[in-house]
Amino acid sequence: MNIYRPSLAVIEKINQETRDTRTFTLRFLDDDIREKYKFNPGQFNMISIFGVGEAPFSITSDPDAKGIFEHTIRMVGSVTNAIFKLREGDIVGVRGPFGKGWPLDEAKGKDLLIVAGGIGIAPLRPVIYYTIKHRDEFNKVEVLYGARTPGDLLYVDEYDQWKQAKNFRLLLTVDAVPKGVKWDHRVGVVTKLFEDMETKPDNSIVLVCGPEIMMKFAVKGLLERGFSKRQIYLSMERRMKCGVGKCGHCQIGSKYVCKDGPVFSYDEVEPLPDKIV
Amino acid sequence: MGRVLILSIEEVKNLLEKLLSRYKVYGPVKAKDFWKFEEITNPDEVDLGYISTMLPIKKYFLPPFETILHVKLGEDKEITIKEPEVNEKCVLFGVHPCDLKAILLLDKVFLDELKDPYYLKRRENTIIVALNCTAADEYCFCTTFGAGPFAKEGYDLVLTNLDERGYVLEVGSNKGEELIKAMGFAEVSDEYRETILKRKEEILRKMESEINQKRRIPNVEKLPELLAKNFNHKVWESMGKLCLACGSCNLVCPTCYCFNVVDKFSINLREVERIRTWDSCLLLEFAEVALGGNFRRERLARFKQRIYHKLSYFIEQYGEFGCVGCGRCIRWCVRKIDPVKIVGEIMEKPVPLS
Repeated sequence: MNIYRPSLAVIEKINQETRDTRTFTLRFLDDDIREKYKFNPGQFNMISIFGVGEAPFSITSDPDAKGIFEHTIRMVGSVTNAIFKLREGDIVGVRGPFGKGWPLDEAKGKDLLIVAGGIGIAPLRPVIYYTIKHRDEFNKVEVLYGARTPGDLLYVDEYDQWKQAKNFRLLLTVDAVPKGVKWDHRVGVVTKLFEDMETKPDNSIVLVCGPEIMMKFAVKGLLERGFSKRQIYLSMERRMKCGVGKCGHCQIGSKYVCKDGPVFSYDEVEPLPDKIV
Repeated sequence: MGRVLILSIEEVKNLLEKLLSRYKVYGPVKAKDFWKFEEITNPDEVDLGYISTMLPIKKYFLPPFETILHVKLGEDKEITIKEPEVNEKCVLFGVHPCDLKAILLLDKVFLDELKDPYYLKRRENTIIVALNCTAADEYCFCTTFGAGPFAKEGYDLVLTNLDERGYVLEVGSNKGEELIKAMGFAEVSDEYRETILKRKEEILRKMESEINQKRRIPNVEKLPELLAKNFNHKVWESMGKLCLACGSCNLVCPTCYCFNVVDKFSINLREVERIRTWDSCLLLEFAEVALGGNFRRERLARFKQRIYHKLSYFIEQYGEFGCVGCGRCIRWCVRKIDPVKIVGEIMEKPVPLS
């Protein structure tokens, strides 16, 4: 199999999440590929819009779902602009899944703290699906999620279901609330929610994803609260052209984000150069 | 394998002639004021006295521009993807040991568990006739990394110039053995073989000491730790200011493998070529992400990235130094920035190692 050859997938559904973000539900055209396709929460696909290019996107759907997978995409560049012009029924190219996902095996039997900023919730949504479905494998699950405004929050329709799960807490915050919008949660950056959280450093794993500057302050706050560098995991974002450790673009120091990551423990990330976190 | 032959210069030309009758052959050719690897049509075009070509032979395994997919966008959303075929069988004639070693390092990147199909095909289809170095210039420092002046592995055949006695030809692979069998060169006596190999050994020692005296990084095994501790050494800042971030070093480097991928539409918007091109970590866009984010916006960060990758990160990634000491990045740098000198300055006044 040629590592650069994408498989074709059809867009089954497009869901407008916020003004600049949509979730695309994809299905491989080939039966065999569709049957065999499996991913771990935190892994990514390379999505091709032929004629425009290819870019990495984290997979955001339920890892147990058969036959389909989803990507939540924000319109920010040339490939995402082209993706936003697509309609249900259109065909894209997909290579993947690639990379090392979240350490769910390590998290089993422990409390799980999820800290997400903005579209950083996307690669963590598979973890939320997984922990709810396999509720007995984990202790407390606590999700701290921050966005710019209430209108920028993703997956709003699913919060009730999340909160109904046993021993599952969802804490929300936004940077600002526009006039006339009702908001019963915190206002401020996501680290504000540390004041309300119940998860303690003992027997817990923390998964963090968001803009690198947000991850920097999240890590700082967690370390101050006694969490260790080894129990904090981050998903890193870098330019990628191949996804398979060849093109060299995603390297940070000696790490390839595409194959050694995108999920790293903070312990691994801390000594690396050319980063904000 | 293990066969040793002696070839006069005429016989070397015969060998080339025979190779030319069966394969496409690329070899070192003198250009105006530099050498380049080029297709050979006549044995006399080859200059076996060359020191170093401007571009390394990576261009034959990872071409500067290469279509990796042909895509046809048909009516009614039909998409057909075709992979280009790589069929050319060729000989690289007169490859110096540093450049050969560089290919063995690129193998680690492109032929790991996820194999690059185009690189693999070209590696399989290429015969390498190495040429041990019996001359070096002031930029060569292959001995630092054990990449030269004589090749240790990876060749099908290897030649060593013994002056008036001609060239020693040694076989390094089954492919090489097959080739030689067909040529009908006379075997040498066991006694003469001993003499020749002794002479070869003498030349190797002489070349090693000559290169070591001219240019060398001492205590190279301590280099990764030294560099790790001296990431903020003042020499970086001054060199980073000198660097123009032009990316020439990336292009001439035999181990720089980074590539970009771009899609090109045909004029009727029905066909797409997905093309990969050499890329350069010295260029501003290399580490740029969406919304203008850039993790190596500073020129100094990009300058350090290349040198640290060669002398430190590559070891962590692939177990060996990512530099073969070919000297090209110094030879072709418009500012004559010299990594060996940078390392020397750090060694002179390092942040103390624990």
